[in-house]
Amino acid sequence: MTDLAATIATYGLPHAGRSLPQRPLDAAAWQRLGHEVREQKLSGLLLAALLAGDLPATDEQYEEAREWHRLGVSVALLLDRQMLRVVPALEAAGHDVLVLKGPGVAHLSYPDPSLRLYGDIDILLRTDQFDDGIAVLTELGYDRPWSEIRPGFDARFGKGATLTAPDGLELDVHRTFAFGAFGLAIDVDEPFVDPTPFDVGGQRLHALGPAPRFLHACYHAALGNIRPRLMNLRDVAQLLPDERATAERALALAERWQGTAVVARALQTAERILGLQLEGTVADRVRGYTPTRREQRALASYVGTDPDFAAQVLASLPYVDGMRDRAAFVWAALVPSSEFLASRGRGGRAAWLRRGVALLRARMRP
Amino acid sequence: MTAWHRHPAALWRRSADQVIVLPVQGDDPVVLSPTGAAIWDALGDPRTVDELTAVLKATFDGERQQIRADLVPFLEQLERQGMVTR
Repeated sequence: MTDLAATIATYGLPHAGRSLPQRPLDAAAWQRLGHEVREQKLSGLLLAALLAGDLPATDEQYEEAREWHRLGVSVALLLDRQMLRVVPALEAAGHDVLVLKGPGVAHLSYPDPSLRLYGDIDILLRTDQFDDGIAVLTELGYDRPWSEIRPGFDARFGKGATLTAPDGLELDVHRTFAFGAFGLAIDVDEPFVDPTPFDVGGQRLHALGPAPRFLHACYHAALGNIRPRLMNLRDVAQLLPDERATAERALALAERWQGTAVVARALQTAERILGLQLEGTVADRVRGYTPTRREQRALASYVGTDPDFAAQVLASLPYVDGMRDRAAFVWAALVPSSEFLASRGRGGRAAWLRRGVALLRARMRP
Repeated sequence: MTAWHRHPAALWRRSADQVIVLPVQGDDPVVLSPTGAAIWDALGDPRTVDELTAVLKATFDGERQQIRADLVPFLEQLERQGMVTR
C-alpha cells in the first residue's frame, strides 16, 4: 500500500499527521492511487478530500473519483437491501441479531455513511442459536460454500460462517469476533448487552454498543488480515472512544476478554501505518502494553511471520475450557470432515493429517 | 394539498452533488442529478408541489411555472420507480 492511500484513509481525523499533495498527481500516480482506493474501499474519503479542495485534481481525475464512489455506494445500497431481508427474517424466527462492521459503523460512527463503504454484510448471532440461524438463512436461499471443519465446530469453537446469496452477495454470520485464541476468550453473550439501534430504509436494526463496537474494530484490524486493511485501521481511529465512560467500559471488556493485547496491537498498527498519534484514555492506557508470552503466541498465530492453521490450533488450546472441549477441538483440527476437505480443495484426510503433524512438529521444536 | 415524501423503504446515499437511490423495486441504483438531489433533499420532510417549486426557485434559475411543469412528471416518475410516495 502507498503512503498516499494511507493518508487518504486518515482524511477528516483530528489527529491525522500526514499532508496531502499540493498539486494534482501525474497519470501513473493517480492510477496507482485509484487502484488502492477501490481495493481498500476508500473512495468516500478520497471524494471528500477532493470536494473540500484538500487534494488537487484535474477535471478528469475528479470525474473518475466520482465514478469510483458511485460504484462503491451502489454496492453498499444493494448490501443494505440484503441486510434488510436477512435481519427481519432472523428476528422473526426468534433470533437476536447485531449488525457488525460496515453498515453499523457507517451509520453510527461516521458523520456521513457515504464515507464508509463496504463489500459485504456481517451479522452476529448468539452462539446457542448459531446453527438454527444458519438453517433460517439456508431456507432464505443462502448457500454455505465452505463446510465447517466438523459438524458443529463453528457453533462451538469457530468465528462463524460465510454464506452466499443467490445473487452472489456475501453474508458473514459470526458468533464471536475472531477465530482461534482471542475469539474463544470472548464472553459471547456480552456483545448483546446494550446494543445501539439505528434505522435504515424505515427498519430498525441493532449494532454493537459503542464500547464493543470499538473493540470489534480493534479485533478486525489487528487479527483479521495479515496485511491490515486501511479502512479497518481507519475504523479503529474513528471509533476510539473520546468519552471517558465508554473508554473505561472498552478497557474493562478488553481485560475480561483477555484482549488488551489485541487493542494495543490495533492502536499500534493504526499509528504506524496511518501515521497517527492517537490520544485519549484507551491510547494512554494501552500504549506500552507488553503482551504476555501466551498473548504473543496467540498474536503470532494470526499475524506473525508464519501464521497457519496449526499455529492457531496450538495457540487456541489454552483458551478452550475443559479437557473434553480441548479434545474435541484438537480432534476436529486433525481429522476434519471429508466435506470440509473437498470444499477447500485440500486433498484427502491422510494428506491433511501429514501436513498437520509436520506443521505441529515444526511449531513444537525447541 | 397532497404532500410528497421519500419512500421510507428507499435506500440512498449522497455522492458529491448527486444522490444515489436504490428504489423499492429493481436492482439498479438511480443517480439523481444536482437538481434531482435538491428535490430529494427537500423531500426529507413531506412537501407539496408548491413548496417544492419554491425550494427549486430559490436554488435554480427558471420561471416558477416551468419549474412546476417539469417537477410534477419528475415526481410521478420517481413514484413509479418506488423512490417517493404521497
